[in-house]
Amino acid sequence: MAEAVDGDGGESPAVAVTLRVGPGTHRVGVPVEVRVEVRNVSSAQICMPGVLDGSETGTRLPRYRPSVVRGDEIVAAPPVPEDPLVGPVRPEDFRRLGPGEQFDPTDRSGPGTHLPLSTFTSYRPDRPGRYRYDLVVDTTGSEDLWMGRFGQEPHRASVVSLLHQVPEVVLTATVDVDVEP
Amino acid sequence: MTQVLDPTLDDSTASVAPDPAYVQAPETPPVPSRWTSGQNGARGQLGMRAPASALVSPQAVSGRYQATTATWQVDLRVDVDGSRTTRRVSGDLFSMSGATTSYVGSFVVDAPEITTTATELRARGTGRFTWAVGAPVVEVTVPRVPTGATQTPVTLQFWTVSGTAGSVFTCPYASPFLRTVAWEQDSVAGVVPFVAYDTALLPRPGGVEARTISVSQAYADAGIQLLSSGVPDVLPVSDAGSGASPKWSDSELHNAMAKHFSLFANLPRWQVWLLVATAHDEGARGIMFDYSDAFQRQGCAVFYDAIKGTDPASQRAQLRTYVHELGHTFNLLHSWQKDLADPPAPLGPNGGLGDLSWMNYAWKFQPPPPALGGEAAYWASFPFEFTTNELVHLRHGFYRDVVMSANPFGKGAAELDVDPETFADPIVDNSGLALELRAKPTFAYGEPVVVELKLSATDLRGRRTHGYLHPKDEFVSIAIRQPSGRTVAYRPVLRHCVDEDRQVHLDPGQPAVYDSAYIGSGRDGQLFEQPGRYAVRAVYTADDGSRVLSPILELRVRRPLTEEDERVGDLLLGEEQGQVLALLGSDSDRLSAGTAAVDTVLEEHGEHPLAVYARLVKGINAERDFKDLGEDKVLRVRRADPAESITLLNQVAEASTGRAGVDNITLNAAMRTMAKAEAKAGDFDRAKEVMGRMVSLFEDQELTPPVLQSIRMQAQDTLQAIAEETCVRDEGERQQIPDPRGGKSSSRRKADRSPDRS
Repeated sequence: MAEAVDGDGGESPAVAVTLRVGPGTHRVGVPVEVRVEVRNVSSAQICMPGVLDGSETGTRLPRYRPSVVRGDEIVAAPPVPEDPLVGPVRPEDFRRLGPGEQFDPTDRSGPGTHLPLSTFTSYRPDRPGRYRYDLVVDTTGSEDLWMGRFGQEPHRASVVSLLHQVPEVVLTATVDVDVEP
Repeated sequence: MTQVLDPTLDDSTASVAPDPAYVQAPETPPVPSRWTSGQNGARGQLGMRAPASALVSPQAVSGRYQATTATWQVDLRVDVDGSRTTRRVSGDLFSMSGATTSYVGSFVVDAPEITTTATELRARGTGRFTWAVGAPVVEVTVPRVPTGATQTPVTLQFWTVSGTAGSVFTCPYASPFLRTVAWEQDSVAGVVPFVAYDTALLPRPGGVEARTISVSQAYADAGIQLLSSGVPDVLPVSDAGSGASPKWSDSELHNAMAKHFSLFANLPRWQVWLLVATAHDEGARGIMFDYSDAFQRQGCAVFYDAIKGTDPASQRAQLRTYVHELGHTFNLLHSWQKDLADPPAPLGPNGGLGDLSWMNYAWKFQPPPPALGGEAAYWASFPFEFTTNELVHLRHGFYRDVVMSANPFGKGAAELDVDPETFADPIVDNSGLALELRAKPTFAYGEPVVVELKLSATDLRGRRTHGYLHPKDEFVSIAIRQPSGRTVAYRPVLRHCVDEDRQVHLDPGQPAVYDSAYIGSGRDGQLFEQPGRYAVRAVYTADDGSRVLSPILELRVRRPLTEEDERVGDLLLGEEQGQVLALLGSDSDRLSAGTAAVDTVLEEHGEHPLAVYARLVKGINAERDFKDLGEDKVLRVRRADPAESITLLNQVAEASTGRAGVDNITLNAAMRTMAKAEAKAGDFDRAKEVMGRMVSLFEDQELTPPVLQSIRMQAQDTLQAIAEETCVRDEGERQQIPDPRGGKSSSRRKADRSPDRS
């Protein structure tokens, strides 16, 4: 099961975020393969960035904040930021999406520097049961929060010109996973 | 770099004794632990094993050697044996002139041919140099001595490609470490600095011996000596945190470093400062906070509240954080960032996430699938060391790429002065935009030079673009031709924000946007201190990449007419004064001389026309708080003084009617600041009055309707921001304030952090 929810209950967002889990049985002690899909659900072309250095800890925009919940307990989430020395955001870190197009923001095969969501890739469920995998995608905040702490200047102007094509959204995607012994 | 002499082809290189200050005493701990017996047979004072030798017999030769001649100093690094040798030789060369020593360049031989006989070891190969050399082939000959004997000097010989002998240096042994860094550590009261971790306390990877690792030992393992410097200071905490642990911003950390790092100097030096603080304002575990000025990588901090704990896992994590943050001061990037360096470096396994390094994050560790990642997997495999590539950087990176305060973080080259191509007229200009610089035709001696920037559409159909005109935003570059004929770039002290919407549509309804910039002083100091004629030109980079050049603006700086003119002008010139003006005031002790000069203008020359600028910076500075770690090591917050701010800025407004005083855009910013001060003083009605007065003041001028409309909206925005701030303060949480103009408000504005709003 997967769904995308508009986080602030406002007008329909321009993008939808969906989590999908890999096929087959999910076992205790084995990370669940969770795939992320970001889709343009508007009628206009948009730009969306992938998971950047610092996105997972919320150190910079875009924020891609994953967590894993069992019952009422958060069993996996990004730790306190190690340090805020995040690298630059560059034009190639954005994906241009026409209406209906989608991409995986953790896909590292493209020209951008996209990162995996380590919380999902490294968490190993330690007991059977139902787990909920959540992902909050947040592109709202001041322009400075997008920028890297080093190496940014050569890319600043071109990135700033792309930012106005990024929808300002806070979205939550959820998928439930049943883990067997 | 222009070389007067090439040290590889200097025939006067007879060496003399090494500088005693650089010679490593044979019994200074800690030592590279992988080298199992001591150079000269020494043992460390902490019971650690002394360096060099024994893995080969006779004695291993890796270490630092130093030659000093009448003209040159050579730091030679030989890294050809030992358990983690990178099989390289490298060196840094300095020229000696009188009492000064200047860096000349560096070289490294990445793959020397190494031949060993019973009596000597010879490493030879073509080097990479930082400058064009006549003799690029490097040959290092090291006499082999029995284990425990004193190492005799090595010979560094340069050769031309055709085989002609170049310079030869005789380099006595200096240290088993390839580089030595003075390390000063201070802490805030109440925190417990990390000391060492015993690897026997938790399961460790196979091959990792049980031993105690301190921060300096971790670097010693890499061949780098962290030499503790001075007595650690403990900085008391005052009331800054209002009962809670104070959270440190990067600028406050830098300010603390400038005051408490006894070795602090804005010069390339092998010295670093680490502060064990309480908490970071972004909640981080640690940070190398010195990443934004001209002399970076001098200091880092770790945050006790985020890393504390006495259990073995916490101690192990603390060791990693300390070593990690210090690694950034050596210009080491995170494991997954290596390709973002300038020039790029190769990434390790799985895009660097699979690096087993101090510079990776344990929780992000992810070797190539199907291997498991995460924190447990990291610690199960981490050998408590840097990667080989990182070792090469630490040991053999070019001097300016590694030494603190030289090249900026992540970069291998300094910025250039002015690129003439940037200011060359385009052959074709279809941008549909025009940029204009405007200023008073003449400025008094010492008067802050402020220019107004106007961007307009030449295409009657209108043009959409961004509205960032201030050079701080990096979309506008400004070049200045000085009376001497020299052309320099204006480089702003800070790169920060303006409070304008990003996108503008320039059409008959809004034909132009404006901003003003103080360009009298930047990162390179005062730019208009000589009376005479100046030519100023700007280039704006549009959304589509078009370069829009302004016509050349000519202005003149007058000679002082009276003694008082000269005195006031002198008070406002000077590097610190320039920074105070650029920052619109500061309480930093580092700028105390500049602030004192501004105070003197007010106190002794309050009636002088230029005193308006002193009131401006003092008035704007008084409107805001300033957190400062004082010389007495007490952290204080100088609270805003709204009443003082209102008084001074009111005087600025009164002095700026007609053609006198500050320019219109600066006056606009000053009055908006005054409105904020009124609100801080608790009188929102008076804040509204000030904004009303501002609108009326500009309505009395001959401004175009679109400009007047823009000013009215700025007044509205200011009042909205004040209301929002008041709301946040009262309710303890940020809330969305509806746009009074009825549109959907956007959070994507530049953060309003900068004091410079001119």
